[in-house]
Amino acid sequence: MSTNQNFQPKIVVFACENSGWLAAEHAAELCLSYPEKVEMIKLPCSGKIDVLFFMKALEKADGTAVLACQKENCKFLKGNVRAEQRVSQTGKILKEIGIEEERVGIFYLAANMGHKFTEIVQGFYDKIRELGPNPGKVIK
Amino acid sequence: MIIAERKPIDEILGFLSQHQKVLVLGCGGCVTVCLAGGEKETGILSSELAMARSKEGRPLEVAQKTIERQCDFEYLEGIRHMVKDVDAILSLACGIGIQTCAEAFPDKFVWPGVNTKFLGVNLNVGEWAERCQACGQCVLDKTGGICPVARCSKSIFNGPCGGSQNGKCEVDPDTDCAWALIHDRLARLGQVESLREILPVKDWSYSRDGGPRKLVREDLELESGK
Amino acid sequence: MKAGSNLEKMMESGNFAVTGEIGPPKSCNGEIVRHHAKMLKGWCESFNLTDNQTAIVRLSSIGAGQLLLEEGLEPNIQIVCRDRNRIAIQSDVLGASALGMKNILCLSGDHQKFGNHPTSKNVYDVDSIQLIKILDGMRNGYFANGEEMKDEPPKIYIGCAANPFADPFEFRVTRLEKKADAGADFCQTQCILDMERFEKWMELVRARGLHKRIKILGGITPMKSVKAARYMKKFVAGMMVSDDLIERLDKAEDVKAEGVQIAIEQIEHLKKMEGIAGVHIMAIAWEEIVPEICKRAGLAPRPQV
Repeated sequence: MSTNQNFQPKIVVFACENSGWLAAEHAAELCLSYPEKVEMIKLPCSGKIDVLFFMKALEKADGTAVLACQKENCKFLKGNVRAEQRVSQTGKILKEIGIEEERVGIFYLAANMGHKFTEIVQGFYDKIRELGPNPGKVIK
Repeated sequence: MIIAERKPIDEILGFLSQHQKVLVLGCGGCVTVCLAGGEKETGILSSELAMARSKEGRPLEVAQKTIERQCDFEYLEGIRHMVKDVDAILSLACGIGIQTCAEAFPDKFVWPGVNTKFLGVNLNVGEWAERCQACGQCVLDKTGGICPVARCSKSIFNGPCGGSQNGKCEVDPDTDCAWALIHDRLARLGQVESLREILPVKDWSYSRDGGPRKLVREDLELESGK
Repeated sequence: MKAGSNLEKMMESGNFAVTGEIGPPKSCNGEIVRHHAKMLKGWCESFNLTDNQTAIVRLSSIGAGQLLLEEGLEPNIQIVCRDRNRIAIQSDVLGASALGMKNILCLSGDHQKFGNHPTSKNVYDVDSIQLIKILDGMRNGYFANGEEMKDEPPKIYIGCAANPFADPFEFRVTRLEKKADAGADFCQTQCILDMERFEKWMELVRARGLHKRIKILGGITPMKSVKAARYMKKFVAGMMVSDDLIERLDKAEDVKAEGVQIAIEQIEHLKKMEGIAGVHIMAIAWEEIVPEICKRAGLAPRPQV
């Protein structure tokens, strides 16, 4: 897909308050920056994420991801496993309607990983920019 | 509970191809419990439809709503104002809800969003199995609480047939032989001798074979009629 | 005499009976049935005509039965419960009887899932035991609804099947008893490929005195290959094949000859077994071997009764 240099994707990131969200705060303390058009939404656990939230996010965004605790390290034991399952369910639905499944993602990190947080968000942002605008976006 | 499964997205998109405004209507009853057409599934499908049509460049305006039950006219009355504004309704209720909806809104297209599968039980997350065929004249008293009509592949009354092996049905090795279950349960209850009795031919007139069924209980009817 | 068929006469007179089986073709080519009829004439008392066996559409059993009558053979009309309701079945029984067919065998029928029309609807209005009861009522002058026939009732010798190799094992004997209670006169068993299990079943049958109430014909199927035997053991529900039998076939230089030899030995064995009234030879797609088996097992010539 051709990359429009001016294209600034809109991203919705759901973050577990025990890892991703704290890592974002850590990044802020370290004065690390990440793209502006990334909207952060706090979850009590990555397991709270649902196909429905991803789908609603993609009605207006170009990509969406969930930040979860490291594997085997979920405070609620299996929240991150459930999150992973919902990412793959969403990917399947997107594929069925002809939208790239890469527009939904999951990343694992810990609370003290401010640098990793910006790396993940920047990386996902760049990947979505590469993909171009979400062809199924409803609210433009 | 009635078990349903959502239809494939391409089939649904096909139904809606001629419409610009649609109401995706979920049901709070059985299809909510079996995760086919409750509030969440209604939301997901609404997004899918809107995104798919947006991608095609033929936007579809999608309204979404989930009501208590679609098999009751009273609840459908409550959404009449929403229905007025759309070209069609995509119902995620079971076949009963879909038809009630069509009857309540005779001037609107009402499309089925699910395939209604059977009357069954939830065995595991994501796993359901048939238990009843609503044959109209229950025989569970004679068969140890296990239904041969719904659970025997041949619906026989004097089983098990010659295809029963290791407790499984010849039709599918993952399906229990209903008659093996009946036999074993009655044996456990010390009642296996009761299976010596030949169960007589069934009166299927109480089932679908007697034509569409209707139940009228005069004791409950109000004097005014409705 | 209930129907006066050859089969009935042979068994009621205490002779060891032999029945065969002809599978009608997947076409309207009656010559195929006639060809088998000519080949098998005189070797058995009567011949089963399968009713769309394994749920594959074939020339009807009654149609094939008529061809057999024309060739001078006696048919055993198979009727399965899968495809017809009690109205159609009774009508066919009257039709078959009008054409002079006297033996009718009642079966549940293989599920259509395995046939060539897996998307069809099945019927199972009645099951095989209920069907026996209906036929018994008919020969006594009553339709299934209890209505009395105004004319002469059909003369039917009623057969059924029994599978000693399906589960639950002991209940298999009870099920045979239910069939006898329902009015069945004779029973053909599933083909015996595990004689030990069959003997155990017969012990239970004799313990209940069932062999005195219903004529039991042991099912014989000559095996053509080791592969077929292994397949039946592994994949056919309600089928048992002993390891000994597979080993014998496996070691044989000429597998077909060994298959025939085993069948002959089984017949000899069954002849001596208390409670066995005869054998039912099912040479699936190998009908031409039947005369040799009968000859060598001392079943020929058939006695005249």
